[in-house]
Amino acid sequence: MQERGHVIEVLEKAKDAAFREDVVELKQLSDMTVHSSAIYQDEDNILVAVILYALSKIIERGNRYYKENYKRYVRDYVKVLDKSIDFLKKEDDAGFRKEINLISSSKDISQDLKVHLIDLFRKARINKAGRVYEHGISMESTAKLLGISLWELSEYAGQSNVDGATGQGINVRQRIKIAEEIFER
Amino acid sequence: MKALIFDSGTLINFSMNGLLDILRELKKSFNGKFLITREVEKEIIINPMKMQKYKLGALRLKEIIEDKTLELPESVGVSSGEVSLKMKKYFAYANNLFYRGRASIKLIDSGEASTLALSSLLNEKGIRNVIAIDERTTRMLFESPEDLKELMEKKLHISINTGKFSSLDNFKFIRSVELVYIAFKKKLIKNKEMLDAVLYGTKFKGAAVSDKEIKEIEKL
Repeated sequence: MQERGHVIEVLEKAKDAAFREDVVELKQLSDMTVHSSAIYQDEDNILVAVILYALSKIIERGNRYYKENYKRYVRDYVKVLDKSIDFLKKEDDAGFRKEINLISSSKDISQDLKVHLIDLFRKARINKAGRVYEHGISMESTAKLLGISLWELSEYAGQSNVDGATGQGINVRQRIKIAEEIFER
Repeated sequence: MKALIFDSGTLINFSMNGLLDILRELKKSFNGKFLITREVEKEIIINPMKMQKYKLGALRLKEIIEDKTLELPESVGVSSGEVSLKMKKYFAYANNLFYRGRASIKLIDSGEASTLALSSLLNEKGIRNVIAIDERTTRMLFESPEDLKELMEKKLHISINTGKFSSLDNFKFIRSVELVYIAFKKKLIKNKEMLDAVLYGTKFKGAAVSDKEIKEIEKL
């Protein structure tokens, strides 16, 4: 795992933020691991970015969507974070991955919530992919890294305006000229 | 002979916006080939066929391969094996150019690298060509790598080291929006209002274009 110490620090802060139901901090913590994800393209950093973002969304939606399940689920979620930190401290990466993957497969949650969570984790992956792409990694590399399709990322990148300014290389008039020249008979 | 080589993003964009008929019409007046690599074919058809949400889009793209609007490199005497071999060169170059400490940063993947490879092979054969690609990174990597380095440093809050930028390849890139502009000039898009709608349609499906650039295209 890349930047183990940083990941442990992020997860510790995330636990506190989850208890306080501070969704803004959880999203910021998720973004902090996106930086490492873009540089090292390491599965574990990506996993952490995704689960923290998903946790922020669960708390954000809270009682409105999840009713009685929500508080209990967040408590279980934090317990998993706790155990994950222990695995990381012992440098047991396989244990960490196994533990963290329990988050989306808990047996104690209702079928409805389970279906909703699968969707939520997929959307969290797409959101994080948008952030990685924004950091300069190509669209196809990003899609593969996050395990989503190019179609999903194209749609997300366009709608969230991830991509705007494209540097000073070639301006739009020059690019139109390239297009006109190739289409000339 | 001339060719327009398509990356996955541009075709996905046209498919999601229902603009593939415009592509067909553009091809009729092109007097050359519209090409895709095997790697791009996989991204636009084979992979999305497994996803209900994107299956229709993939089937539409399959049709424009079947009607030969889009063709594979073999149609211009280049084998997919040659493309794959050359692709490795660009894959290695692009993914070992930027690094942080000792770790190189992987910037592009096989579809993008394969379009570069095909363009390079066509250049060697004297076939004039342009790459249509909507995503930003590949374009910046060859047009203005210093800007890409600056963008990444700003976003990642780190300093990035670089290898030697290649000046050997002279790739030419356009995006969906430039194709839309050509379609407008050829009267395939009826009026300015429709042009505005189509330009923004492509932006919202992933073309890396700013509002300022769209306004500029509309004024031309």
